[in-house]
Amino acid sequence: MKNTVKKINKFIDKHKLTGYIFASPWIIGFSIFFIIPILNLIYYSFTDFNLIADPSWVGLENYHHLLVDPKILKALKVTVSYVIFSVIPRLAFALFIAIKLNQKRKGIGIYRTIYYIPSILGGSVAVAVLWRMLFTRDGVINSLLGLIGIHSGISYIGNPKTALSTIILLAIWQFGSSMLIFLAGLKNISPTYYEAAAIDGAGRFSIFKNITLPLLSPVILFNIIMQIINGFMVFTQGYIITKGGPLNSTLFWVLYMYRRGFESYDMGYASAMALIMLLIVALISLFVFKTSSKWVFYEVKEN
Amino acid sequence: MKKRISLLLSFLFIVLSLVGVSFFNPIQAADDQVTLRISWWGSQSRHDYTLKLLDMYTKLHPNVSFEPEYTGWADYWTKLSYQAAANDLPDIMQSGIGWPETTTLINANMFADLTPYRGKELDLSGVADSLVKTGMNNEKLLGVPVSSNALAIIYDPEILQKAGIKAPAADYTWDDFLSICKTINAKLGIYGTGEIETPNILLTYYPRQFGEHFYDKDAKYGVGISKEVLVNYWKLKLKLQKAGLMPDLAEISQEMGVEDHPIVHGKAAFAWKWAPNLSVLEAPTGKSYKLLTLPGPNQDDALYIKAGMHFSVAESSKHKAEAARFISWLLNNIEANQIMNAERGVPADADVRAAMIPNLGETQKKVFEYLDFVSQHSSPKDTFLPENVNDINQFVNELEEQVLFEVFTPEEAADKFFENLPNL
Repeated sequence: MKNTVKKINKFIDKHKLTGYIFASPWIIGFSIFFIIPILNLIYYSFTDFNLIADPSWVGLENYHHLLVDPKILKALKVTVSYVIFSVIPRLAFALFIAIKLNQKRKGIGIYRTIYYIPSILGGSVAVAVLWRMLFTRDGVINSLLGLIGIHSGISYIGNPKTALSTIILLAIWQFGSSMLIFLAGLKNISPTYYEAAAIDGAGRFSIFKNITLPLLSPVILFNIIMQIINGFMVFTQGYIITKGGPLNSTLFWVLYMYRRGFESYDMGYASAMALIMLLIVALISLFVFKTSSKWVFYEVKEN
Repeated sequence: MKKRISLLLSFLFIVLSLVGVSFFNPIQAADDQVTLRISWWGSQSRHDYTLKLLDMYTKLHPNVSFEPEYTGWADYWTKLSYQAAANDLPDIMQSGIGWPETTTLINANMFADLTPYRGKELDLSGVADSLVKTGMNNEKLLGVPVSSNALAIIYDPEILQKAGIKAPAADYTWDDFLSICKTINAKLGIYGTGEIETPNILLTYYPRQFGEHFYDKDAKYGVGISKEVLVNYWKLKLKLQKAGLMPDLAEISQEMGVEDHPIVHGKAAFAWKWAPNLSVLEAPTGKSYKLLTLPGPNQDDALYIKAGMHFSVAESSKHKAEAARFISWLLNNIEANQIMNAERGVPADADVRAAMIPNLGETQKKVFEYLDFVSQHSSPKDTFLPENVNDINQFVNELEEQVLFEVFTPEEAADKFFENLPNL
C-alpha cells in the first residue's frame, strides 16, 4: 500500500502533474475555444461553406477570389489607415496625459477617473450612437460651428471624405487604458534618477528624453503591440456609426468579413479573410518585436 | 500528505467544473406531453404578448408546453443559421418564405412541407389563395402566412394642404408625383418625399410597371430587368435627390429607424414604407397621416400583397402535427388575434379580420382598408429568387450609392451591373 502511494507520488513529481492539473481548466479552455476553432478556420478557408450544408473542398479558390476582389484592397487600405492614424496619436496623447497626471496634487485621483471614463464608454454601442448624433448634418458639431458663424452643411459621417476621420477621432478619444498603463510605468521609474538629473541641472526635455522615455520603453512596446492588434480588430464603430459606408470609405476588414460570413453566408471566404488578417497582425507584431531590441531598454537583462 | 490533498483538491475542482456542464439535462416528459421550441424576432412588445399567447395555448392544451427563443431582427437569422448548422432548429420559426434571408435555409431543405397537414391540423380556409402561395416554394407549403402586408406611401395631408395641393387620385403617375414634390419644395422649402425606398424594395415594384420582373426565372442569370428600365429608375432617383426633392444619401444613411423619417420631423410630405409602419410614424407626432398607393402607370400589375411574415416548421421537428395545430390556432383564433392586435400585420384570416374591424383604432383601420384596396388592385408577388440573391442585392446597393454620390452616371452603373452579373 505504502509502496503504491510512493510510486504515485513519484510519478506525479516526475511529470509535474499537479501543476498541469491546476492549469488544466485553462488548457482545456484554450484548446476548445482557440486551437480547435483556428484549425477549423484553416480548413473552412479551403472550402465552400454556407454554415448549413456541409463544407465542400474548393482548394485555393477563396484565396484566388481574395486576390481579385476590389473590396479586399479597399478594406485593407481603410483598416491600415485607421490603425496608423489612430494608434500613433492615441499613444502620444495617452503618454502626454499620463505625464501630466503623474504628480502629487490635490484631487489628482478625480482627474484620473475623468480621463479614464471615455475608455469605459468608448467601445460601447451607446457611444457609437452618440457619435452619430454629434457628427451628422444637424448634429452638435455643426450647431456649435453655426454659433461662431461657420455654417457647414456637411454630414461628417455621411461624407466619404470625412467619415473615416470621425471614427478615428472616436478611437483617439478612448486613450484611457493606454494612459493607465503608462501611468503605472511612470510610477515605477525610481525618483533617484530624476533627483540626480535635477542636481546635474538637466532640462525638462532632456530628462524626458534621457530618463523617462528609455525607462518607459518596455511599457511603450506593450502598448504599441496591444493597440495595433486592437486597431486591426475594429468593428463596432464601422458597423453602427457608418455601416461601412459611404462608398465603402469605412469598410473595415472585420466588418467586410462579417458581411461575407453572416450576410452573404460565404463562410469559406470569411475564413480565408480571417486567416489573412491573423497572418498580417502576426507579421506586424513580429516586426515590432524584432525592431524592439534597438529601442527598448530593460533595466534588468537576462544574462 | 500535502501533495495528496492538493491532488485530491485539483481532481475535485475538475470534476465539479465538468459536472456543471453535464447537469444540463432536458426534463423527461411523459409520452403524450409535447414541448415545442418556438422562435421569433421582434420588439419588446411582441415578446411580451407572444409569451402571453403561449401561456394561453398551454392552458387550452395542457399537453403542450413551449420553450420560447426570441431576439431582435438583426441576430435572428444568424442564430437560425447556427441552429440549422447544428441540426437544432426550433420546431416553430417565424420566417419569411421568398425573402433573401431564407434562401439558404430553403435550399438546404430546413423547412418542412406542411401540405399534408392542410385541411386537418392546419386550417387555411379563411386565407386568400394568393397569400397562401407566398408560403409556397416548388409546390411545397414551407410557411404559413400569418398576416398580409403591402408597400404604401404614407403622406401628411396637412403639408399638402399648406402647399395648396389636392391629394393625388389613386391613378396618379410618377410625373404627377414629381410635380407635387416640386410644388411642396418650392412653396414650403422642405423635401417632397423621404427616400423612395431602398433599391432592393422598390425594384420589386418599379420594373413590374413596365412588364418586367427584377428577378425572373426565365431570364439570363435570373435577372429580368432591362438596361433601359434600370437606367430610368436611377435617373429618377438622382433627379429627386439633385433637385432637393428627396434627402441625399448622406442624410438618408443617418436616419435612425423608421420613426426618424423626415415626415416625422415635418421635413417631407411623403414616406415610402410598408403600410403597417403607419402606426410607427404617427406615434411620435400625434398627427393623422393617410395611405396612398405607389405612383402609376400600371399599379395593378406592379403592386402586390405579400405575407407580413410566415410561420414555418423545421424539417427536423418531431412534433410537426402539434406545431401545425398551434400555427393554425394562432391564425384562426379571434381572441389570440385580439391580443396580437395586428402587430404582426393585418391578419391573414378573413373571419378574424371581420371580427376585429369594429374594435380597431383609427390607425389600424386605415391599414386594414388600404390592404383591402390593394388586394383588389394588385398582382401576385414574384416568388423566384436566384441563389446568389444576397450578392446581387448588395451589388445593386453599391452601384446605387455610386450613382447618388455621382461617381457613375446611371448608364455607367447599369452597364457595370450587367457586365458583372455573371461573376456574382
